[in-house]
Amino acid sequence: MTASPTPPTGTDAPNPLRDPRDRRLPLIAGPSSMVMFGVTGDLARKKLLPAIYDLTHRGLLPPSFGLVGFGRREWSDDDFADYVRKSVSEHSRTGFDESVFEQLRGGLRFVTGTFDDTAAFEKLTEVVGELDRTRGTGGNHAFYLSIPPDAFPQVCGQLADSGLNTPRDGSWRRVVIEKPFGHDLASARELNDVVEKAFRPEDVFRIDHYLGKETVQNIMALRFANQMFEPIWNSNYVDHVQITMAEDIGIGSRAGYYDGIGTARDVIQNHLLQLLALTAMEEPVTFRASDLRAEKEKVLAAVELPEDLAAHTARGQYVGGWQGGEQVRPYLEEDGIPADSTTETFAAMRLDIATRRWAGVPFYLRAGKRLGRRVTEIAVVFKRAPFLPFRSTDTADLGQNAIVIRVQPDEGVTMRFGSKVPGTQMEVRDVSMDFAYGMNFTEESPEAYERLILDMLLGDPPLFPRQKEVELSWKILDPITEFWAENLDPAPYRPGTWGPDTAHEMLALDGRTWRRP
Amino acid sequence: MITTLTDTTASAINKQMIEMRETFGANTIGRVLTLIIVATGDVEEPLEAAIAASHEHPARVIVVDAEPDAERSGLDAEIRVGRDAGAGEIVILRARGDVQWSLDTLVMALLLPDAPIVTWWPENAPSSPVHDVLGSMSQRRITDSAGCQDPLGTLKRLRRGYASGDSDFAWARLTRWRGLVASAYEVPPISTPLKVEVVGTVDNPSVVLMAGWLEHALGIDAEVLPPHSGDVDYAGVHSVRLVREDGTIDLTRVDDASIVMKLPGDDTGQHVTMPRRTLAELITEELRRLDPDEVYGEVLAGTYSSIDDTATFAGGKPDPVDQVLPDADGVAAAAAEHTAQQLAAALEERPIAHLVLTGGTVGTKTAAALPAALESAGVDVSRLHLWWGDERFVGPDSEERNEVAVRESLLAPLQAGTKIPARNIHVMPSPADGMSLDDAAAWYGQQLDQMGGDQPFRTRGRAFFDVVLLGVGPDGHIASLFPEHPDQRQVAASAIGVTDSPKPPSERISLTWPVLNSSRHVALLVAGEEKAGAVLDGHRDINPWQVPASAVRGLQSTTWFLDTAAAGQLPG
Repeated sequence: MTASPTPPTGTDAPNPLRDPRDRRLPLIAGPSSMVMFGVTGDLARKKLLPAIYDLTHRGLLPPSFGLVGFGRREWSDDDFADYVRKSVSEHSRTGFDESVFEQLRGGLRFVTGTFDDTAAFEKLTEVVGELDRTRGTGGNHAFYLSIPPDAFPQVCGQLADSGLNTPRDGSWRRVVIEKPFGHDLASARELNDVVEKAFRPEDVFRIDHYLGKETVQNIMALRFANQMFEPIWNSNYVDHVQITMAEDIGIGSRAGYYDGIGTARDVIQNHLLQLLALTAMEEPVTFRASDLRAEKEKVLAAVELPEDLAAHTARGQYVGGWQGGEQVRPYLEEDGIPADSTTETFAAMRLDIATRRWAGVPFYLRAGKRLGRRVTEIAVVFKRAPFLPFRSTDTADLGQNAIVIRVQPDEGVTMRFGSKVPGTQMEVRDVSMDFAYGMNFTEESPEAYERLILDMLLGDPPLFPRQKEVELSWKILDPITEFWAENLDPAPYRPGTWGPDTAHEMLALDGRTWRRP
Repeated sequence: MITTLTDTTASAINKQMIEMRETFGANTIGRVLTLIIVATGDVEEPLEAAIAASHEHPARVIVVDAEPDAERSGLDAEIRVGRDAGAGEIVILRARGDVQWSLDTLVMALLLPDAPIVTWWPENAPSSPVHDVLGSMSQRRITDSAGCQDPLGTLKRLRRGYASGDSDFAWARLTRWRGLVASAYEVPPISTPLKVEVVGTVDNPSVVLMAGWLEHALGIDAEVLPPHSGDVDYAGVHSVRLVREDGTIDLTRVDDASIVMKLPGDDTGQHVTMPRRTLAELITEELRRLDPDEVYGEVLAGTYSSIDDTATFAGGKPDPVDQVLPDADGVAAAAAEHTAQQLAAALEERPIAHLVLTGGTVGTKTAAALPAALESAGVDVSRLHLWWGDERFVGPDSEERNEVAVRESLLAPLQAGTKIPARNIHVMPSPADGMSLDDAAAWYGQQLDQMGGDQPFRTRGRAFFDVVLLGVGPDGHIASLFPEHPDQRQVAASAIGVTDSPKPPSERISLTWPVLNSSRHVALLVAGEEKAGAVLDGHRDINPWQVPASAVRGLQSTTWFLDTAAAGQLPG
């Protein structure tokens, strides 16, 4: 879905060596460097540094690429290089190669300092200038804020004060931020104000790593490249849609972040609503970022909340017990969680979309931790055939047709439909037809972060949500979380199940049941 | 899971595969394409690459391994699924003997319904992939000129036979190089180079294509330079240099795994890891896109100009000589004796010899004189292969067929006592074989390709046939290449279907200019006064369009066998 035929390259002159029809030619990022804040964090160590290494290994980063770590540790460049080496040798997807690492290593720098240390930012300015001079990074620098949002004001302020945020003659400065983009509408706006004070809106790249996943991009291919799905992709044929994002693990070491935030803000606001938007949006005029966002924004703006929030939302919290052969602690006894926490670890809700296409088709969203298995999927469940020319006993086993887009793991698409059971009797039963990307697909397909970091360096924005989308999502979620805070405590559920009873009651009320993913 | 089937059929293989799927459930993954690998001998290396590629492109892989010389004709197969086949499923077909004459029907039952077909020749690229029986049913045809005996010669042939959908590994080997050159070009300040140099082994097809690409994209000549004598010897591209006003962009390979990139104003250079690409990476890249690689097509076309002048195939060879005899019988006897001697000499140097027969009155007489001539020259006819330069596309027993005319006089005596194996007699198909004219021509072309391997059909320095016999028409035509007839312009295929021929019957199959010109000796057989004008014209400059008879020459000799009447207009 890379829409632009020729990538922006820091100058408008087209490169005669890049023929748009030459689809083999790899899109290599232009000369640039990345400054990473929070480089010792889990995300940087397990995902970001390996992604940068893997991009180098695949030959997609420029030879001059520079990577500057910023942190409190008293590290030399060599110490930092050792740290990066350890991180990539443990977590890289494409395998560790000394020669590739050597190429990367030439551009590794470390700056010691805290976020309030103006001198450290002056040092950072020097280091970045040195990279421009010695490596030829061309004044193009990305700032990756892999840090808690409450540190954004300080870091952005420092970047603005030191002038690092300001590009000069044809170069660019970009900032990358990770979710959460706030914890409600007001805080999201506040956060955005802070960031946009230092960077232009088009230079802010919000990473939602879900959007970098191949299957998510495949939703659009499935819907808009085919003739056989779109005609039935509406309320005439679709009964309802279920979007599930389940994890079988608990909150792990994320207590500090998770408590007080909860599942709805953690994943529904971003991942699930993005999946909903991609599933429900109208066909964009082109796949350019602006056209794509326009459609996503339209559909998010059309989302309506249920009238009775108590009946059509559900909220849960896992208790302790045996899950799949392992004894697990209840949420309230996890490290760092207060014993009286009312943070939810499971959230479900019904949303409606007030458009001609979707009127009367509920979208059921659910997400949670310590559920039956790790799975993310979108199930489009169809209405029953209006008339069945069989005896009712013949079709007793026939369910509703469904198209299931499996986002992870085991990426692919499943279709469920009725088929005659072989034999003399007419008996129709549900069967599944599977499309998988191939059994080792995950090994071969690039990690979402590789895709997103490369797109960011290329300045290719379709996969990054814009502030408007973030705000629209909070507008959907805020009334629900407010209602919950006042009226609805999380219901307990056993680990390894599909959430509290209230979640099942919520669908039973509409005469439906959750799919078992 | 490996299952071996001996003396089997395509439909039995298909049945076995369905059975394996039902029993082991091993093949429940969607396959996106059928990959046909045409291998000879060692199939394991390409197969390993295909298995690795199957993780990204789940495919059914059909390996066709033909063994034309096998004593007994038959088909053996090996089916691999599950762990032994990566994410794909593999069928290895070993076609023994005559089975290889219909390779298309061999794979037909095993193709995935509707899914695209990609054919890959890891070595022995056909002279024109799109005219190959397997290539013609494929969306994409992948060759590896570097895996052939004469890489540049092969690339030139591929240029001649290029069709949209072809590509060559020599191009895919350049992808990372090209990516790096393109991004080095983008480093500001951008300016157009004044000079472009590509350093590398001059006979390496990737080097040639790199230069071709830069010329094509930048519109300035790229100079190909051999590496310095002191340089380490790497196959392929050593360096690319874009010389600009403000300095030089220089990318140079320093070892097997890396290159150093220098930009204007930066003399230290940056180290870039760029290991040589493995076969698996190459085939994976090729399978990523199944639409034609137009840029490759343009670069190839720009690198080797097309041969618009079909005279080229005949040029640069010894001038023809005349042998004038009293009458047609004399011509036939002399030509037969000459042919027998050349074949005898050929068999002393090589295990087999190839003779191309012709029709017409003198051609038929010559054929009749051949058995005796061959015997007296001591030719071991069991090592002889017989071909036809053209054939009328009519019923198999029609009197109009060149082959029918020599059945009694030539073929029967040679076969008596089974001296010449039936499979060495390469008869052109007739409508009774169930093929359209063009399919029949393509089929015959493939027979030639299979016999010649990578060798056909050089017209310079080497040759495929030993002797080509050609009659000449009063209009100066040879084989079924007629004066000013558009079909004679086709040079991509080895054999072509000719329609609307000025002489009935109108539909014929003919060999083409490059194939007829790939012979050590050419003998033109002419008798009769009505042909004297054509003989005279044929002696003038090479002019294939108006006088086809002037445009076929043998590498070592071209001889006009004439009777006095036909030689009547020649200057004393």
